[in-house]
Amino acid sequence: MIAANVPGQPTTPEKFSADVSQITIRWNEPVSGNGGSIITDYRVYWDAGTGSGVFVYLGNTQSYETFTVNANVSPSFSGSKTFSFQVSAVNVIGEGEVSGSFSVLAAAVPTAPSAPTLVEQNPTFIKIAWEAQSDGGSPILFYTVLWD
Amino acid sequence: MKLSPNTGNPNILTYTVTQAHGLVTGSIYAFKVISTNAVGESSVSEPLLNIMAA
Repeated sequence: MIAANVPGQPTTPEKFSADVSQITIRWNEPVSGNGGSIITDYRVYWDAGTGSGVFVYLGNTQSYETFTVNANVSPSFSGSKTFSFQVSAVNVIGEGEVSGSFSVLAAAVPTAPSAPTLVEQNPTFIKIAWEAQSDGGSPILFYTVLWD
Repeated sequence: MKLSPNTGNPNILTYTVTQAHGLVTGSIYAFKVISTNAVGESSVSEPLLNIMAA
């Protein structure tokens, strides 16, 4: 007979999707196994956006190796902030070691700028202009012009 | 597709392409723009088609 143990450490979570309204993280089951007993759930910890390195319990999921946090899950969630996450696996024996931490910015890529318009032209140059669109929750850093 | 240097400034919403960039008179060009934030790049804007008049 082999005695069961707590599960191993899940993989470090990674971003599945994010925008100003939600972050979804995902991870994989422990590489070192479930400790000899089926994993019953995963517990998700976060720093609530404090950046302090102190992690507190956020929630758990029983069926999937993903977790979504939004303002309905926690009032500490808000767009354009960075949050750090850790995950642990649980079986009937208890809770295993938490994973490494991973940080996610609650923002998305920007919306494409408007189609450029012609401002001025002569035989030696073309000057174009465009309008900014949504920054996705993170300030625009710069624009790049493509041409062919 | 030629990639011009980025504007380096999120407040600059214009760009001037010159013969030094390789513009040739009489050629037709399609100009497009992308924006970048800390998450990554936007999709590409709709193009501006323009003939570089002689």
